[in-house]
Formats: sequence, C-alpha cells, structure tokens
Amino acid sequence: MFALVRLLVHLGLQSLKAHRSKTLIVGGLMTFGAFLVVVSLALLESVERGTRQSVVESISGDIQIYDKLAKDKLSLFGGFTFGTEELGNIPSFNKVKDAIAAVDNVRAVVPMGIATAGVKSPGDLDHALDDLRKAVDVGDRSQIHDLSARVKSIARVLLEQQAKQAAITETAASSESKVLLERALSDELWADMDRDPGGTLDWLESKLGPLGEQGNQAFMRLVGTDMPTFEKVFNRVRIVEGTAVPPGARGVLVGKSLLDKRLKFSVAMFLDLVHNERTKGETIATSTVLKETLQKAQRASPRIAYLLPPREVPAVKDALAKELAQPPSTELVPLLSSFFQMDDANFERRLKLFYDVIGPRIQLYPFKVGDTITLSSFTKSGYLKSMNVKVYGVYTVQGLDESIIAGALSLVDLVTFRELYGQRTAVLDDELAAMKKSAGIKEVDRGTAEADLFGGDDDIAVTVKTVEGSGVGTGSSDPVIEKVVRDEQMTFDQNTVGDGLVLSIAVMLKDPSKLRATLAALSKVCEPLGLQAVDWQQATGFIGQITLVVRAVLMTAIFILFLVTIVILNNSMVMATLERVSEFGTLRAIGAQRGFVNAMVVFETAVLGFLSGLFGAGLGVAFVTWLHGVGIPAPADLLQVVFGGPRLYPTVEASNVVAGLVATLIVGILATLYPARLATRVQPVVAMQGKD
Amino acid sequence: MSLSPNILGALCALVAVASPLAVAAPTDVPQPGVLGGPPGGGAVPGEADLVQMLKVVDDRQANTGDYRSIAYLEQKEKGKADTAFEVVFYRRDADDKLMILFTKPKTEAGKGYLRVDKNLFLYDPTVGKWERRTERERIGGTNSNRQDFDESRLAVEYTPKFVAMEKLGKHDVTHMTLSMKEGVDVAFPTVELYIDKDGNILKREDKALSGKLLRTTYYPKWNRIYSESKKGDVYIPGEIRIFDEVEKGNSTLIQIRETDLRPLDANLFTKAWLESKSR
Repeated sequence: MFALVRLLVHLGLQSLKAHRSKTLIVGGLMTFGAFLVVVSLALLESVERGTRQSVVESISGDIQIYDKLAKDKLSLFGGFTFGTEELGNIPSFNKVKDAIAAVDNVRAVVPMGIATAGVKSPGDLDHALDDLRKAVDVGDRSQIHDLSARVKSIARVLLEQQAKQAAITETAASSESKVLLERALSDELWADMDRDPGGTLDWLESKLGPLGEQGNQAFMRLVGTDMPTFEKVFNRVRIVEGTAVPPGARGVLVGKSLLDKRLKFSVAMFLDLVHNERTKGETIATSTVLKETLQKAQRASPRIAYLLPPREVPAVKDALAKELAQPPSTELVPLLSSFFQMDDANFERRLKLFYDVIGPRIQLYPFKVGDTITLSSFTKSGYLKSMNVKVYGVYTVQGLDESIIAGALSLVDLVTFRELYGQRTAVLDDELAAMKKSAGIKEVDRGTAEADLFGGDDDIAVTVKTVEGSGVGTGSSDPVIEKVVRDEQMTFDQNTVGDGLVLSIAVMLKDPSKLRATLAALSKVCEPLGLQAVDWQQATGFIGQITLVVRAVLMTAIFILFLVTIVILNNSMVMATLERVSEFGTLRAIGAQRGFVNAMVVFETAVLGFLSGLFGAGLGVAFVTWLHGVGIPAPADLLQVVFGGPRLYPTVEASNVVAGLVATLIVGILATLYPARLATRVQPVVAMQGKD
Repeated sequence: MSLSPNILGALCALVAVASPLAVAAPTDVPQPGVLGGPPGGGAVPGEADLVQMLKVVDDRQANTGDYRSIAYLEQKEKGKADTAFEVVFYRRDADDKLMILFTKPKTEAGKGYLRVDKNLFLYDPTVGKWERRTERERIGGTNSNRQDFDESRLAVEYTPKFVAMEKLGKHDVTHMTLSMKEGVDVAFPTVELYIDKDGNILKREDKALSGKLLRTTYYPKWNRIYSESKKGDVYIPGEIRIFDEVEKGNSTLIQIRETDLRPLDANLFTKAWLESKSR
C-alpha cells in the first residue's frame, strides 16, 4: 500500500513537472484560495475577538437574559428605534438570580436596565440669573458681584447683536429689546439690586431673561445597574476622573467620549475637530469643512466673553493681544474674533493657547465631576420624571477611549434607573381611576363626538354660578401638597437593590469558548421563568450583528471563489486529461487498472493542492503577521468598536492554516473527479491508434 | 419638564380659551343673544359684523380680576396608558400672570407652572429646579406653544371670513374662517370657528398654513360666573375636548370646576409661593 502511494505521489510530481503551464495555473488558483481562506478566517476571528472585547467586557457580558414576551429585541447600544425598545421586564432580580448563577460555567450575573434621559442646560443668561438668585439668597456678596458682572456682559453682547440686526431691519420687538437691554446695563438697575434684590431679580428673569439664548438638552442612554457588582465584573471600564459610585448612593458615571464629543463647549469641540483632522493629514487651506468649522468657532466665540469671570478677563485679554500683536486695551470680543481667524500656520499654537489660557478659566462642560445633575425621562407610566443624580466619575472603555459609541452609555445606579423607567403601578392606576370617577366624565368617541356632544336634547349647558363674598381666595381651600425632602432621595439601602425590577441580566462566563453550550443550558433554565437568553452578538444590536454580517459576507465570497475555482480547475484538468490520452492508454495497455488511473489523476491534484495550499497558507500567515505588526487602522468610530480599538492587530491561529489546507484539498479533489473519470475511460487500443 | 407634553398642550389650550385680558369697558360688551344669526334676515354677514362677533367672543371671556379654578385633565395617546392630572389654576389677568399647581396624582403633586409676562417657568419639587419654557417652543412636540397662553384676542389677531350658517349637532352655528393678520404672531395661521347664537365657541379647528388640519377642539359646556371686578358675567368653558388630527387617536379632555373669581393672595404669583407648597 505504502509503495502504491509512493508511486502515485511520484507519478503525480512527475506529471506536474511535465505539465508546467497547467501546474502553474491550477496551482496558482489553489494558492490564492488557501491564502484567502487563511487571511479571511484570521481577520474574521480577530474582528470577533475585538468586538467581543469591546462589548462583552464593557457592558453586555457573554449572554444577556430578558423577558421572553419583550416586544423588541434587546439592543444595548440602541437599535434603529433608539431608546424606544419595549423589553418587557423582570419584576424581581433576586427571584431569578440564583437559578441563573447556578448554571455551570456562569461566573457572574449583573442586573441591568436601559432608559433614555435628558439633561438640560439652561441658556447662559438663565444660568447666570439662576446663580445670581442663589448668591442673593445666601448673601454671598462676592458671588453677587461676579455674577452681576456676568449678566451685564451677556446683556452687552446681546445689545451689540441687537444693534447689528437693527441695522438691517428694525421692528417693534427689536426696539423693545433695546430698551430692556439698555436698562439691564444701566447703573440705576444695579443700584436697585442693592436696595431690592428680589424685585430686581424678578425683573431680570422676566424681562431680560427671554432675550437670552435657549438652553440645550442632551440625551443620555442610561444603563442602570448594581454599580459595585458592575465595576467588579466589567473590567474594561476604567474610571479616568472621579470615583466609582459608592454603594447605596444615587450616582452616574458618564462616558468621556460623550462629554468630549457631544457635551463640550462648542468652541472647544470645533477646535478639537479641526485638530483631529489635521493629525490625519487634512489642512485648513485645502479643506472647506475645516474652514467652515473654524468659522463656527469664531461665531460662537463671543460666549467666551461672558463665560469668563470678570477677574479673569485681563489675563485672557493680555494673552490674546500678545498673540495677535494688538494693544492690550482692545476689547475682548474683537480680540476673540481675530484670535479664531486661524490657519495652518497658527492653528496648533493658538489651540494650545486656548487650552492653556481660556480653557481653565471657563466651564468647558455642562457639568463636572461632583456636580448634581437633573435627569428627566418619560416614564412607562406616561408621566415625566426628573431626578437629581450626582456625577461621580467619567469613564472610558479600555482601548476605546475616543469611541463615541463605546462611551455613549452612561452608567447609573439601579434605583435611579427604576425611577426614570417608571413602571406603571397598581397604586397609580387606582388613583387615576378614582380621579376619573370623581370627575364624572363620559367617554366620547372621535368618530361620533359631534353627535354625542351636541346632538342631545339639552341646550349648550351654559350654567350660572354666582360667587358670594370677596375674601382672599387662597385660604382654607388651598391645596395641601406632600412635602418633598430632596436630600433623603440621594441615598438608598444597597441591600434592597436586588429586590426590584430590572430589564435584563448580563451573564459573564468562566470559559467564553463554551458560549453555545452555556447558552443552551441557560435557555432551559430561563424558559420556565418566562425569560429568554441571547448571546452578546444579538444583545448588542447592530454592533454585534456587524461581525455576523462580516462573517456571512466573507463566507459567501469564499464560497463563490471556490465555486469558480472548481469550475476553472475542472476545465483545466479536463483539457489536461485529453492531452494525455495516449499516456493513459499506454498505462492501461501495460496493465494499469482503471482504479489506478483514477487514483493517479486524483493524487496528482491532491499533491498539487497540498503544495499549493501549503504555499498559500504560508503566504497568508506571512501577510497576517505583517498586518499584526502594522495594524489595520479604524477610520470610523464604529470600526473602532468592531476592531476593539483604534487599530486591529490580527493574529493567525493553527486552525486557520488547517482550514486553508483542507479547503484547498477538497476543492482540488472535487474539481478532479470528472477529469479522473474521463481518464479511466480511455481505451488502450484507441489511445495507441492516436485517436482522442 | 415635568408632565406629559400633551397634557401641557391641553393646559395651554385651556388657558387660551379661558384667559381673558384685553377687557373692553363693561358697557361695550355685547350681551348674550346678540349673535342671533347673520344680520339682514339670513344675508351673508360682512367683515365688520364678523369682527363684532369675535369681539363678543373675546369680551364674554374677559375678566379684570383674579381667577381660581380646579381642572381635571385626561390624556389619551394611542398605544399608551391614559394619564390624568388634577390642577389648580390661579390667574391674575391685570398683570398677565398665571400659576398652575398640580395636585394629583401624588407623583405629580407640587409641580407647577408660573407665567409672568411672556415667560413661562416650570417647577419640579423633586429636583427643586425652575426651568424656562421658551416662547416659541413646540412643547414636547405637541401642537401647543407660548401662543396658547395668551388671552383670547381673536378679533385682534385674525381676519374673519364668513363660510356658512351650519348645524353642529342640533345647534345653529356660524362657521367662519379666521386668517392670521399680517405681522401678527400666532400659533395657527388659519382657524375654522363655529360659534352659537349666544357667542359660545362650540368648535374650533386649527390649521397649518398649508391648510392641513392639526387639531379639533370642542367646547360642549360653558359656565357663566358673575365677576365682581368686571361688574359683569365671565364665560368659562366647563369642558374642553381636543382631538389631535395629526396623531390620530390622541385626545385630551379638560374639565373645569369650582371657579372662584375672588381676589387672590398678592404674593401668589411668585416662585417662592410655588416652591413653598412642597417644601
């Protein structure tokens, strides 16, 4: 047997040598196929590892468990219906926790819930007036002085803007604004501030306030969780500023990239954007986008004038005047306007000056670590709920510091999440039913509203009520409202966190390679609990789906390539077989059986396939090794998440090489079956007569 | 930002209808029954007649003194559970001030709105913060905005055009189309108004500039209350039903009761007063 194989290999090699052109064509195709398989599988598995690292170890866990009756699919990063998923609920985490944790290979379970909440920032003028009122309430004269100056600065800027607008078109409204702004800048008004701060503040808030710009609202996708457990389990989440949320405290951790790329002071964000593009090789001179971005920064720059505390203005003016070679007496707003006329020559210098001189003196973010912010959310009960929450820290996902997707989720304690999620309760339903009953309202259908409301026998019910007396109407009938003690709401009993509602449960595995088996086991446990278990790819929505899509596309491409290869190989082999009819006839004439001829042709291709596969796989390994060295850049944010960082450093596994070799051999052999069959049919007599 | 936006829209509508400010002298106020139909025994009324009808509508709702009332509001949104509120309204038309204090359900109690001049502030006791609602804001994406908080000034803001004498249920109504006057800033550029012979608005259709119908409001009940300050009657809707014509299936119901026109506490329309209710 061994001798036969040796003979077949020998004959195969001889034949390959003898038919060099065919060998080169067929071998080239097989080499390319093996190369492609090795590289594709290596890249695919590297991408999957990268994505897994991005999401599994930062937010999703290996498996997520949620309500089997959920209307929507769980999508931790948000799906196409951002923030509106109907995920059902798990009424009590503690009741299911133990059953899930008892499943083999489960390392940790973490309760979770998702809600979308808004964070409002008042306009600069309202902000200053709010602060001024607080300063007045506590009698902080220093603050009153500074904030009064800030209000005047804003009024001055608004007056300048009003004058520019009036130069184009003057309306009654703009004239009225001018009068109000001039009064806001008058000494008379600020003298009143000393005599009657309450009345003056009322005037400022009601008359001057509406002239300021509107506030902003940023939306945050919150992941409510048991913070101490989360921090232990998800080790890629790193707090880069502040601290972890202490047990039993209402608190939030905000993604750094969300702060930097969504919430930061607009002028700074514009400058950051230009800086980033320049580091990628763009220039202001050639990029319209960068020019426009700088123009936006310039237009927004007057805000700096009134965001700066008055005592800091001289230092900023000095620095800007020096940079611009202008006299220090120049007003700040024109200096800022000139300063933001940037080009490639001065950009980096002025960027540094901005962050060294201006940045530290103004608030670059709407809130900072340690602040208490107000989160507002439309709850499932139909009512809007607002909660005060302390910002304990800023986090990044290790390796994805710059990714807005990775930092888009803000982590909040589970109790706050439950308040903002606002599950409808039986108590509320009962209260609403009682209110409705008390009102005695009859239901009216839209379609028959006119007939129902105006078609009866009664005239329009204009009733007459005469109110006696003329006393003050806010006496004993004044409504009594339950008092709110806000300080007590900032803490809770950590031991009760597990008792309440969650939307999903993250499961981290001891051995992630046993994902499929553990998922199956968990599904069995979840079924009777009315829950479902999904892997991290399904649980992370479009991000997790990307790897599945990439895999499907690559596998399809490889399949099509091998199909084409089979056809080409088959044709080449048929042609080669026909050219060798006399050779096969001679072999048959000297005693070779059909089986031997068949084996000879197949072995010949197998030898070629093995050698080509080896060569192709070697090239693939070399290519992936090179890629590992240089890294594949992720130009888009989404790719950063998919790659698990700003660059993908693919690695090749032995299984990838084996897959390449096996695939090449299978394709080669499949393509040879028909030509081999042709070869076995050659009649020695016919072949020796020289006929095809 | 502390209550359902559509409910807020309903509140706005309520105030728009029931908010009197521009008060004509009592002697100028046409009395009920003057809108017996088009003049001239069925002849098409001219613009002057229609303007006079609108003045009647405006003046009947006008008050010069204070106002306090309780309102029940119910909001239905397609695909969502119904929500409801009970609020107390306080109004001082002489100063153009308004306070809305939420009393029920318990989760909403203590929240409130304060309007001073053209400013609308919202207070939430849970967070202890005031928030400015801007004049031009489409509140929560609803079809109400700052305009809804203004007094009824139909005769000042719109130019009427007679459409027809029609039947609304069993009632004879004058149907007119109101078009926004040039230079006037209103929420709805076109309004279809249906007024009964006494000057009660029974139906109102608010339209966009394109003519698209945005919402239909019915006023099936009106209350007449004697105002000492006005020395005359003030007409206040007892029930308002608003149907959203864009988001079909959404509707709001408002019931007003226990109206009191006696003078209110002088310090009521302040932030401190509203804060004190829950502190």
